[in-house]
Amino acid sequence: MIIGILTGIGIACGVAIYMVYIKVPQKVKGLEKTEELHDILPGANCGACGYPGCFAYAQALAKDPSLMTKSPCAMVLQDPERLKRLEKALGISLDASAMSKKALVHCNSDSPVISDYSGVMTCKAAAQLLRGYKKCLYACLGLGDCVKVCPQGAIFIDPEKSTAVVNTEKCTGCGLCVKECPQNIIELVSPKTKIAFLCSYEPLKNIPGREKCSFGCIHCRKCFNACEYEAIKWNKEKAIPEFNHEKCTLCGKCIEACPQHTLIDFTRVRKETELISSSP
Amino acid sequence: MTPDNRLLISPGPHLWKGLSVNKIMYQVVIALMFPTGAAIYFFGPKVIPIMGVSVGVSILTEYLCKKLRGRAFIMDGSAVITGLLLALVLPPSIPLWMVAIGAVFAIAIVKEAFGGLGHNIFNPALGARAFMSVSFSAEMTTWTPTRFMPDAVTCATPLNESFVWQGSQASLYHALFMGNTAGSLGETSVLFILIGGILLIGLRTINWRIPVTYIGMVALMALAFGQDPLLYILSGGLMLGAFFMATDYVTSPLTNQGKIIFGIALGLVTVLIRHFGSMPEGVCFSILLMNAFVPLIDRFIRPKPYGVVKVVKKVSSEG
Amino acid sequence: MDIKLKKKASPYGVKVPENKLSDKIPIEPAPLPDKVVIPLQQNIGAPCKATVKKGERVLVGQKIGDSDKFVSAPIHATVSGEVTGTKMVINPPTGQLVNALIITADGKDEWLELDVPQSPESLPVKELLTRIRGAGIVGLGGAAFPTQVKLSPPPDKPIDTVILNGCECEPYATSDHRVMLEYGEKMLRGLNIIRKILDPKAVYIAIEDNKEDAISHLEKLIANSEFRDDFKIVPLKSKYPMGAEKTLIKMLLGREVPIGKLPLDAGVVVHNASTAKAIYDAIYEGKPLIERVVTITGAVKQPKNLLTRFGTSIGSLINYCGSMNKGANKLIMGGPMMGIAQFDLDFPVVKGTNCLVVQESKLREEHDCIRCGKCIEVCPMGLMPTDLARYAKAGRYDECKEKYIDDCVECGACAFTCPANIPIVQYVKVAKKELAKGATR
Repeated sequence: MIIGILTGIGIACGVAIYMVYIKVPQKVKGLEKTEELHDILPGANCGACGYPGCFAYAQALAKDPSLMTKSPCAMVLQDPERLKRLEKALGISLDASAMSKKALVHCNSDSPVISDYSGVMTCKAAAQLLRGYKKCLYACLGLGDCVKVCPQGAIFIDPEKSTAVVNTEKCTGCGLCVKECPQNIIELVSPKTKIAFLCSYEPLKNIPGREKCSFGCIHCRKCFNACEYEAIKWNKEKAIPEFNHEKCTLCGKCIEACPQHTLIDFTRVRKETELISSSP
Repeated sequence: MTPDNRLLISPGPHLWKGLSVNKIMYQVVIALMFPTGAAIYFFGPKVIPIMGVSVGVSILTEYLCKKLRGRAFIMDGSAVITGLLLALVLPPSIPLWMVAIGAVFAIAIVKEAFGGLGHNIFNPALGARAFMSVSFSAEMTTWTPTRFMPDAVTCATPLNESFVWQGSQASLYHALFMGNTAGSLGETSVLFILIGGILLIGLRTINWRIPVTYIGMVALMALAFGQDPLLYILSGGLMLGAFFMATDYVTSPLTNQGKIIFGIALGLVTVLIRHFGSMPEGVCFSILLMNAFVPLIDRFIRPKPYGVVKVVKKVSSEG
Repeated sequence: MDIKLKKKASPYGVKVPENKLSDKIPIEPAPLPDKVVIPLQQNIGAPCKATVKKGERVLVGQKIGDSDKFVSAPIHATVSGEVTGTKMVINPPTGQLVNALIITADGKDEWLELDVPQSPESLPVKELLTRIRGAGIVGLGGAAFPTQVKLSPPPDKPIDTVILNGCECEPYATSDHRVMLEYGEKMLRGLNIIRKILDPKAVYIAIEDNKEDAISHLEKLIANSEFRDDFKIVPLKSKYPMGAEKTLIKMLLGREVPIGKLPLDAGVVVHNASTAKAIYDAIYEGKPLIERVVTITGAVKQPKNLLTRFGTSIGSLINYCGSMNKGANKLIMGGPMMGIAQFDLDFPVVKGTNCLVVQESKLREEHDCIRCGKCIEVCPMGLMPTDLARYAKAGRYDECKEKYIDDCVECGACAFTCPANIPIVQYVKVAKKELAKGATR
């Protein structure tokens, strides 16, 4: 009786040892490259690349390495060590500084609230219902859809103005917030950007931005006239300034000249704890 | 528009029927007052502390759980109902500390750990009763007589095999109906449960389909097994379970068809447990078992959408 | 085809409070506005482009906007005066910004010379359709679908029934009711034109039974006219949403419109009572669509039914009715079930506005869904609103599509009944918008 039980246990242990150490650890054929790439990827599974998770992206990369240039993983681009490992594994070289981006919310408004809103408290729902409850129809609604979707936690809401602000230190430029914003005012810009223009009001000559908030562009051209390095070009059609980052020396004269404080220094990180607002 | 007379924007519709979760919960509490009153009448005022402890501990546990989860605590009456229902399924001689443990289990584990109101799978009061039956089996099966019954300190409930009735069959029915038998606090008086249950059906708070199909199926199955259907219906916790436990919104199916299937299955399982199982009472476990099947029922029993001719995917394109 | 249901109540839907405060008040012309703002998109379909320039003088009835797309309708000036500018306004159903023309009235109310046909009864079908389009007629029940498109079904889809929708199931709204009472004869002649164009086997007039005076008035008119064999009045038990065309077709004929398709795929065409009257105006009197009856009701001093020119600001109409009562904080354009709350009192009246309701409303907080199933009992389209709201809240729009969210007519019966105050209709609208944008998740 006892011998029978001991024999049974012995056989079971033998089978288990065989399975665990000999059979199973054989790498699944065809997935060695994927496993290697998966180790390098950050494993955040944020979905910004368009694939459902880092493993799926690694699989796609293993089949087609040029995918890294077409739809790159933004987190890897920001991390030099991982980038080097990935370049070695794929056998390609990437120009991280040209490809990486940062998100910018084109709104800094303190547009007054013109109606009480009650209902589902997400930006998408408020924008669907008559484009929100602020006086400027293009303003950031401040209900935080972008905050919820950011995998790095890099966006916060300025409590005074009720608009979203991106912390450029934490931002990796993945682009999830761009897709989420119902007002379409978030844009991915090059990290070399020096001056940011914070107004999304579609300019129609008979309704100046000044009416809608105190930080909106009024097309006065003072910034254009103040620049001594020809770094600003005036877009006549939209009546807004466009900045050339190569020529800009960040002297700050355009920021001072703007009466509405619509321009900010993009290189200065806006942190939640400091809440740099554009008013002096 | 000046800030002082701002208009309100909210999504449609801008009229409401006036129902609210609080109203529904308090309607159920008022309907539960009938069996509660019957319990106090038949077993004496010594059962009031049991109810008090149960309700009080339930509310306190819910408050603590909500605080731990970082949610706001709303006094919407659901903890009151769980506390009352738990008290009504316990025997009258249960020690108070066991009641408190049961209430904590009901709210913290069966309700809050699964997600809170609206997300729990099992009925909290019944889940706690099952837990207490297993943990404190001796105290949970000690039945005391009512104030109007002749002597004996402990006796058997009508479903127990050792139950002996001195008197005619009709007087047994009368006693079961009025409530003059041993059992847990709330399940003895069928009359008062019926009053509470019909009140709720009249107010459209619960759906008639579940109690009617459940009780009907039990009677049918009793006939099939050669037992007395009326005895089967009137004894045990069937009435309380059919009207107040199985009809709980969160743990019963959404659609009317689903509710009928739920009621029929409940009846089947209850009678099978009573007849073939070693437990004398099958209602508690049958409801818990069917609660686990409710997501499956909800997934497959859906109303037919307007204008959809065939739900099966068609290969060819239609015009 | 015989009617299956006459007075039986619909198994779906809810009973809503009727509050027909203004149903005994006769139609009154609103005072002419000083300035009108006419949006260039007032109908479903393509927006119009302006055909007049700033500074031009226009007369009443002159075309000021047109489009060359099939599903569109032209727009006409509703006062005589000078075009003084353009403005961007929000188009409430879609939330998009559209261009609008501002006309400052000169107070003369001068009309363009009307093109009245010699014998309207003998016009050919093609000419009728051209005139209907030229008059800019759209569905006046609220959806604003261009009427000539509805009246030109493709030849492979025969129409056997025409229903005139006089139900007006929304609470407070009485504009169709008064049109049926005061312009009953004109409406019937307009319905006759529809019958001539479509040539159906049967024509029914569906009216809810809370409008008994309209039913008896129309019955008398029909009995004494040449239509007594053609038109049949069907009184229906009043329940919301009886007036939605899909539920109406099911109630009256027992047929269901296939999902994603139009009623003409089921062989039925439904028209609103006010649209029939507008067709009469266009064909018999040559008048384009420049005004309609708007009910102003709710918490105002005197609820009224006003014959309003399009482009009048809603604030001026409310002031004419004695201004909003103290404590009123909501202004709804449309009925209280499907209407859209407004924040701007300068917003203009458009073709789809059938009533304005002023309300004193409180904020309501959303509770978790308690799975009571009341929304499923009342949904007229056989959907599960609790599931749709839950998936839309979680962002699972692909699941919403699988659960037939396209079938939802956004009637609001589910949110009306919900004890947990869940704004189900808003979730459904957001999900539909995201699906239209191409969300795949």
